[in-house]
Amino acid sequence: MKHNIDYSTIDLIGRSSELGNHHLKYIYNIEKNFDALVSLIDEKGLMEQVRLLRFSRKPEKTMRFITKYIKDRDTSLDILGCYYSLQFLVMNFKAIDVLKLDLFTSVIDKYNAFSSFISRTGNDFRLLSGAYMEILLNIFLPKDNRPDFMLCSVGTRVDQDDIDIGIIDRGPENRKILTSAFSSLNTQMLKNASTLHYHISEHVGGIGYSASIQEYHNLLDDKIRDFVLINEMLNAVPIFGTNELFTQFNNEILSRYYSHKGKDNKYHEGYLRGLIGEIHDLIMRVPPENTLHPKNDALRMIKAIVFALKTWKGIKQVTSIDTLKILMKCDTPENIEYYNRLYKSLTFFETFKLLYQLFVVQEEEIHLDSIDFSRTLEPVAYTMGYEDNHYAKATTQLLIHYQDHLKMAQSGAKKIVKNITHHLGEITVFYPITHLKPTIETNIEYKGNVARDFINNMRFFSGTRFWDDFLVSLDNPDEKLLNRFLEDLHALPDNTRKKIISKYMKWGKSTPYTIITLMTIIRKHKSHFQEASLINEFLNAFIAGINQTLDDIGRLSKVLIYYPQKMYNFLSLLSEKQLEKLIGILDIPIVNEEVNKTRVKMLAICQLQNKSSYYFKRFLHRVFNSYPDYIISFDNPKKFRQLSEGLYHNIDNFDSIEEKLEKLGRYYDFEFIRLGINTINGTYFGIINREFTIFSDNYIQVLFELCKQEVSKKIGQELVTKDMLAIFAAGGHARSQAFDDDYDLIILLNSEDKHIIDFANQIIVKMNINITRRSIMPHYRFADRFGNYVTTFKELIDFFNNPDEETFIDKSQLLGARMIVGSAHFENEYVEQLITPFIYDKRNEFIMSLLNEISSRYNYHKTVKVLDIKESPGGLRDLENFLFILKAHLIIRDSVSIKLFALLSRRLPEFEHLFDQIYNDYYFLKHVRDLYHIMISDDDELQKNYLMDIIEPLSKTKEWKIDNISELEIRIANAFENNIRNIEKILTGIGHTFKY
Amino acid sequence: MSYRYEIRLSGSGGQGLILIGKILAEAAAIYDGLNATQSQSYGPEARGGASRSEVIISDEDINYPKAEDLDILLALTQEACDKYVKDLKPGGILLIDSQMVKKLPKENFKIISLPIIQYATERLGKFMVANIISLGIITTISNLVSGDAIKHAIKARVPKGTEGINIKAYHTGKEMAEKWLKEHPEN
Repeated sequence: MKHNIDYSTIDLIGRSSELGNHHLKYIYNIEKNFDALVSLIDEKGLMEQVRLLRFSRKPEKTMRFITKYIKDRDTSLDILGCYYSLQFLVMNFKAIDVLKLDLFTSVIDKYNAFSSFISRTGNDFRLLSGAYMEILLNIFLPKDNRPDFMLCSVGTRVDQDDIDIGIIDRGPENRKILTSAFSSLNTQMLKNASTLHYHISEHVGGIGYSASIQEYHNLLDDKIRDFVLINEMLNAVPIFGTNELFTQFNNEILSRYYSHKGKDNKYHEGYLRGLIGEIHDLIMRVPPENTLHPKNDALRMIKAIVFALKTWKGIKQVTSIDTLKILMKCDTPENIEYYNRLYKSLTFFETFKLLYQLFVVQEEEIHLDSIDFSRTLEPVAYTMGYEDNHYAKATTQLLIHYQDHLKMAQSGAKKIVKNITHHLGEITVFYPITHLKPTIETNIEYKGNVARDFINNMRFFSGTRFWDDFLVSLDNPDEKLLNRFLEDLHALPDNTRKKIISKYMKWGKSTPYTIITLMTIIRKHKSHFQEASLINEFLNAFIAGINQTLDDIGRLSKVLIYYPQKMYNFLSLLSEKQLEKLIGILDIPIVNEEVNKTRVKMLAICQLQNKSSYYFKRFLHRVFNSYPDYIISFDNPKKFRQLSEGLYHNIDNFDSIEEKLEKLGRYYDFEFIRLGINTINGTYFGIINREFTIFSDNYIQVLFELCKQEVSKKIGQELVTKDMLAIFAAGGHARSQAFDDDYDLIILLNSEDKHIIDFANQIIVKMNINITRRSIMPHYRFADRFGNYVTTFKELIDFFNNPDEETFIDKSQLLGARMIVGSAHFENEYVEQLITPFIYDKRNEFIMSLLNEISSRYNYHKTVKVLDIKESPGGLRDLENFLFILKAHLIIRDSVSIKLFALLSRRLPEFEHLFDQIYNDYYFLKHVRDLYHIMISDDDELQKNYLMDIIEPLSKTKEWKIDNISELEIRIANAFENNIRNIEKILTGIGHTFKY
Repeated sequence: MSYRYEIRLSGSGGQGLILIGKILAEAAAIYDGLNATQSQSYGPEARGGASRSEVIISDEDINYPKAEDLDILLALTQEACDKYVKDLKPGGILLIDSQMVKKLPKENFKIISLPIIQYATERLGKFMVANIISLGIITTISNLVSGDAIKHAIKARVPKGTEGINIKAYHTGKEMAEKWLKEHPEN
């Protein structure tokens, strides 16, 4: 159609291709009805009054023209929709252009430019959409037949993907008329503007889009309910309708969520408890690596803080940005700094989110793993003032700043939430319970039953998640409240107590953090037996209430992510049966990716807890309580390794020896745990043994140095021990054997100097204390015999010159010993003065003693029907004695390792195949023993009932595929028999008369 | 005779259920000239990871905005199925993902169990398009909106550059539904 006026949408539509596809809806509306709209303007001579391609400050005026001149309702609606669509596009282009100009000209600070962008666009959008809704309602609900109502905007002003509204009416009698009108409004908004959302009416009222003040009373008077609903109500800004209704709504409903000095503040308190719970969760939330979600990452947290501040400080009816501006003007300088952080983050994230939704898609979540994400983000980055440069692309800079602002928001939130929590402590209705007296000024003892009254008063607050004030009071070292709580709980009749416990469980179902904390507090303060049955009662009820649902598992996951130590300590409280029940619950996948990831971790921790021996749990407990963050990373051996290496290399950076010793101990614990978990996960035993030997040797070497420094400092002189003092590992550690329950050490001194002996003894005393702290019992060979930790060469020479029946055992310890601390010179002296003259030169006698030992052990053990991995014939002890015989026979100094087997094969090539078999059986038995030590008990006598636990990790190793207990028993028995046979063959083959 | 059709799309966050709610409502209202409302869940339940979107389509005014007598319930998680199946009307359709929903309710309604997520990941290589496959199934089975309208609406809602894969996902859903209808001629 040809018009008299030259309006063209070519430029507008062309430019729209810069925006996200959701703008196609507006273009569709424009293309369908633009000619008709222009014709109308043309016909009516309104070209000077109507602004089509520029944003109008009075859009309702043009809309009125349209409805005035077009009598056909459907045509009128279509033309209105077209006009709205035009203005909507123009509004967005204007918003983008002005922001770019502000940032380009640098007239104002970047954050103020963002702030203006958000405020201006929000106001423009409200102006346009408000006018459109009003005009539409004039059509659907003519003023002469219009019941009282107030239409309020309740959401974020600038959000364009939907418009959150609430409608207050006078009650159900005229609701049908309102509902019909709003239904028609709804359809027009969906077609031509943004979808309307009536969140409040989903919760309040009955059929229809609106709710009366009485219905708000009915829903909200006796329970705090959903704080999100209260957020929306507090955001309510009247758009049009009967003002009186809004005033009444404000006075009767909204104002009670504000703080009122000296008055009943339970509504305000409940609202704050909901908000603070949310803020805590969001502060600690770890955003997924592959997505950005401005709302979940930062905006929800900042806005929750702003809402809390608004209701506390009495700031009404303004946006979050404006609220922060007010606070920055009037609060203390210390707080202003933190408000400023929140302000900067808020404006950054709001701008980022709005631009993303304008340019890309109206979704909250941004996937970083899509191929095009960088290109997709380009217009957002450019509009926010970033430019590509030689060191980083604009989008990269934007993503870095995204993370920076996230941290900035969290740091601001942490401080401000403390202030809010303090305020909560002053106004809470629970003050008489937590302080056991009615007010701060009085000294009257609280008369009620604390346990019962607390949970009953909780009813009003159900669903809120912040209860740290109560829990912190329970955890007070004076134990006043805790004792009273427990006494009062026990004082209740059985049935009542059960009911009260079930109320606590109901509370814990929606906020498991609280119950988990309560349990751990009781255990922390009370000994194992004191409250065992009560804790058990709580735990059984708690676990029975957990379902395999996203809600339940999601809430538990949060506790693990945000409070890993608490969760770990809670899991430590569970009995085997309770743990198994929980494992059964956690075994089912959850569809939500984030929750499912945490579920898998939680399941693994439960399984680890369930599978670990007390021996291994001692290490777990120490590590997880020192570094709780590693609880959720325990299945990440790389991360563990990084930390332990860091600890090891950082030892020298500490000033005091005490600190150094503490870090060294942690290094040991971390490595122990890491390798334990790797063993359970099926890592090749050769790697485990090698790494275990490296870290335990590192530990002893550094421990010796530190203890030597400490003793030197104490005596005020540093004695030179080089070439005179050495520490040897004996027993399992000498054979590079992981997870020994004790630490056999030989401390040798090649000197008779009393000062040196005393000095060395003092060092070993200190070392002893530190090794014991690691829950490992150090054993000092010869200490009992000679009465000192330190043994001198002379003492040994005298002893070997006057041997008794068991001297061969001491000699074999020396032969098997591996030097950890000491010099090459010392090792030579050791061989020359002790090993050669007393073992190698007298090897026949030594070998005979060992052969007799093997035979007598066989005769003793063949009648004992226990499965002892070490002592049974053909077990580890026989193999070790057999290897001592060969070392003496062939004059070999090497300690037991893979290298020794290779050497034996070379020296006795005719038995190579037998050595191969012995090697395999030796390491198989050793691996079974390691797993048994970690998962069941640090005992060598295997209990058949528990063997099932080690089948799974054993079957993970490539070498041994074992599916059930009987297969494992057969495999162990075969290893014993093979060893007996092979030992016999080799010993006979090299000329010794030996038969089992 | 006038009709009112209630659809609830349920599952967990990140499955794009709100997006397909918007697409379905816009297809009906903008491109097919019907009346439609769309709403979505907010509040703590949404914060826990659950997601729900509702669409009501009618050829008349929609006077009652809440969906409580569902004609179709899409449940992409067991939890959503357990929670919302009570709102499905007798003879209604329960559309579930066969991998995610194993425990089937026994009531008087039709159950369509299809490997939606499996098709999305294996055939189209993108978990994210399971929602659009679901949309293809729903629109084919309900015959509520025209194919052109739904394709227009998809293109007008998804990010630039992803139109192709999303239309492909819609066709995949459509074919799955057609195959199911062929195998179940009583429907």
